[in-house]
Amino acid sequence: MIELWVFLCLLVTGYVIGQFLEKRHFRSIETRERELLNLVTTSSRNPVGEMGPIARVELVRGNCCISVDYFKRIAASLRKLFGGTINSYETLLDRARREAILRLKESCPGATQIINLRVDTSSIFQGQGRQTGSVEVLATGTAIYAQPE
Amino acid sequence: MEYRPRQPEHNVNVSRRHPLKEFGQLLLGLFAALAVIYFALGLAVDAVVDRLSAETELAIYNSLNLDDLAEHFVSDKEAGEELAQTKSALQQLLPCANLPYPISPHLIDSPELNAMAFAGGAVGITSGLLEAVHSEGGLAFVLAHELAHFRHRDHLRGLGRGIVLITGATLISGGHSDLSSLLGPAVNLQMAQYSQAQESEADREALALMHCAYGGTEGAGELFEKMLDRKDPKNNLGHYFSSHPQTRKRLEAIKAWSHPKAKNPTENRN
Repeated sequence: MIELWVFLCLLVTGYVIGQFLEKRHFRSIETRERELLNLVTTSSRNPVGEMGPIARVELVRGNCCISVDYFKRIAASLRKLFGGTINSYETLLDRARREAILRLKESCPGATQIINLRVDTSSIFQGQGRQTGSVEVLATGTAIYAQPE
Repeated sequence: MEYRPRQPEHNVNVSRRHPLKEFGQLLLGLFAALAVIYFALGLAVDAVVDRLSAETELAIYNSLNLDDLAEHFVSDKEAGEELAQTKSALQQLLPCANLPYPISPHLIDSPELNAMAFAGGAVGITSGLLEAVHSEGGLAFVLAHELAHFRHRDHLRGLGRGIVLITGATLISGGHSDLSSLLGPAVNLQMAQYSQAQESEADREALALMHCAYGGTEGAGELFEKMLDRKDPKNNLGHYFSSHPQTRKRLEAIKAWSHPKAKNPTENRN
């Protein structure tokens, strides 16, 4: 019986704190995205638009690792029984991807453009075999600095 | 070609459904499915248990790990005198019970009024019960009730259902996941929980056994009468689970079946 209570406490705690942290993270993401909106970032292989002479290029990357809370894990395991979209992991992946791209942009202040954006996602297992604990997203690209006028 | 970025109005990569609502729906669906499966497999377990041979039954008991049972009991040396009446009652009842394995009585040091049957043939009686129940008929009824559980293989039914539940959970969730560790503690393999129907049937069979062994059922209700006298709300641990309305019903049932004008209890069974 005590295991049931522990389980329920973990569920509730995971849910409450997890939702709070997630909303806070999304707010931060949206703010920073708005600020960095004008840094041209594309997945094209060539610079977009009229670039002018290029001063230098460099490889930039943004990396982040985000974990699910307990409630999300249980909800996902239930979903795996019946099939369908795992809503609880969707927000996780969305946050992680956007965060990684934001960090990539933040890592090269003063860049004119970022091209060849690639995003790689990998799961980090908890060690108990098949339980996915957290996800790591790596965003890479080439930052191009235009020749200062 | 112009690069014009925009912030999307709402996040397309995330579903709109509220996580709690989805969780609730999934959980409900899971419970419904489990309930249906459990019920269906319960019927199958019953069908199998009814048809087991005595050898198979013995083999199952031998495969269970019952070594730590002895911790609950007072050692036979110390309990010798107090169990004397129990042993003599058992000797009267066992020929009628016709069980393929020996029954060994043990004393449990506790003030509560309780008796338990353990898979494999051990019967535990609390010292509280032995102090409260004085008549041979009362004690014989308690023992006959436990023997009836053995005869009906009620342990195996509970065990079978528990195994079905855990196996199902393990198969679905694949090993040591949260789901199977959640269900694990819910199934106690040693102490079976008997349904009310099983209890009622055991009461009836106990009276039949007493009829066979003693020729009468005098004093059978003594345990329940003592429980009602005590009016102790804490008297509901373990196997007897007697809240007072339940005890009263059982006492009335016993009296009805034992009435000299009523038919022999074995004939009443359908």
